[in-house]
Amino acid sequence: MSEPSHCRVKLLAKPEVSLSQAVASSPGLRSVGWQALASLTLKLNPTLTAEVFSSDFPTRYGTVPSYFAKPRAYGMGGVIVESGGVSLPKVKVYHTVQPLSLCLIHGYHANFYGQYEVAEATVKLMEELGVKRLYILAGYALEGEPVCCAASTRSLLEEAEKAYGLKPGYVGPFLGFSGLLAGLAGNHGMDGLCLFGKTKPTPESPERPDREASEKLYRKICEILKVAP
Amino acid sequence: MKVRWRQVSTGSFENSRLIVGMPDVGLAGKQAVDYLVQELKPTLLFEAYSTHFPAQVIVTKEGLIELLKCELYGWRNPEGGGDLLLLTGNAQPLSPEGQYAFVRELLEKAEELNVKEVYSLSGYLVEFRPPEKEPSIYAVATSQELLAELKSKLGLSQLEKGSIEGVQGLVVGEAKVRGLKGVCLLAETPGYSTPSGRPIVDAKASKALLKVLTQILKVEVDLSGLERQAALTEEFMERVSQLEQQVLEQVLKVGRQPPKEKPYYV
Repeated sequence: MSEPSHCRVKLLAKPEVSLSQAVASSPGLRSVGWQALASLTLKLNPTLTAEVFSSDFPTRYGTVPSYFAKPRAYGMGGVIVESGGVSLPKVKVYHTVQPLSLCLIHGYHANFYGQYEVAEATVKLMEELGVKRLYILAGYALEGEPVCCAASTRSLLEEAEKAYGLKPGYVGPFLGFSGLLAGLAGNHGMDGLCLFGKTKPTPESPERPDREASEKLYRKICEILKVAP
Repeated sequence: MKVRWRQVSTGSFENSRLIVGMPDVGLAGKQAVDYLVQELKPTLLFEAYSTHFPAQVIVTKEGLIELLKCELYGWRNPEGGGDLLLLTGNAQPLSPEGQYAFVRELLEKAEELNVKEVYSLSGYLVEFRPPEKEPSIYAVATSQELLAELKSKLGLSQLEKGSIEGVQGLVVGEAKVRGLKGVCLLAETPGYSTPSGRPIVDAKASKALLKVLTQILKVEVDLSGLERQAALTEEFMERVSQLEQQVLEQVLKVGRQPPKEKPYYV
């Protein structure tokens, strides 16, 4: 059964070299991963490579939090206004070549009907850019280490512990764009390593930033990428 | 694409019976089919992915990331009494349109594999099930004759009124539309869960389902593994219940503390 695609990818600047690694995040628990990715983006000053649009991207969500997608909770379509300008909601894909070749993915949560399609389109784009390994940044709210991990393969888990002292610590569902990206990347033969920064949930405002947790996560991804924080 | 089927292997099957066990209340039906897969060691034929599954992956205890998927297995009956197709999974589509699409495509696949009968297994939520009581099994069927046969031969209770939500219900309804025989067996379960709300497998309900199903199918399966699991679940739930009682007593004790100043009444 096939349906018309609600997703389109606009390629803006294809890098001349293959980007073997990618770091991704999306708005989520206490914005731990999202803020860490913002810090990394600021640090590396990357070029905008591509944008992924979807007619299933609301600007006002029908669910709280935004990544808790449910059937029939379509949300409302619209544009994002910033400094008087307007733009469509989108996944933004950036790249850097120096000091390291890296792809940076700023995710956006679709409603229930677009989540898989958007994640699949983003994974295909990563494949075209040559990505072999994906790091996902997110938050977790359990007792444990300041940063714990999950991976697409056992060998990657072993590597994460040996090389960076990372251990599994979160068990359960990983919701939304970032979770699906990690799962689908694995299906496309990419290595996926998720880094979860420990935080405390604030149910009244689930995405309220936890800057301390983000900072710890940022330092860990910098250590892995060998970038000075 | 609402459903994507990935063919893993092929096989030919005769007079097949499709057994469906999806995530349900008490995970009774899912565990029953998972147990059959474990014991019969069938061949994995297809993996099914759906954009209407919950938008999430699962992080396992080992720290591995798993996409949500269903698996369709095939088992050749060495006794020749009809083969089995077994469907299990860690998710089912959430939306009605996703559930309908999934069920239709599943039955198309099953018909290609010569399915003749469809059996769906599920839990049936009850408020309380005494620990010493074996779960009752309720049945619904695509025809009154079939239902009468099940009731008379196996002493099953008839589900009088209500609905069976999800793929486990729809698959029997769609089977009827296609002219296939269909039965849904439902086992009483209190729908165990941890204090944080995570569902716990009700292996006792799964065992009760399989006891009936294996008689219908005339397939022998050693159920002792489920008995051990059921005992562990009962033990765990007993501990949880004791813990809850202790917490309740503590709360009541604090609530009953005498006030520091003696009240004065005129």
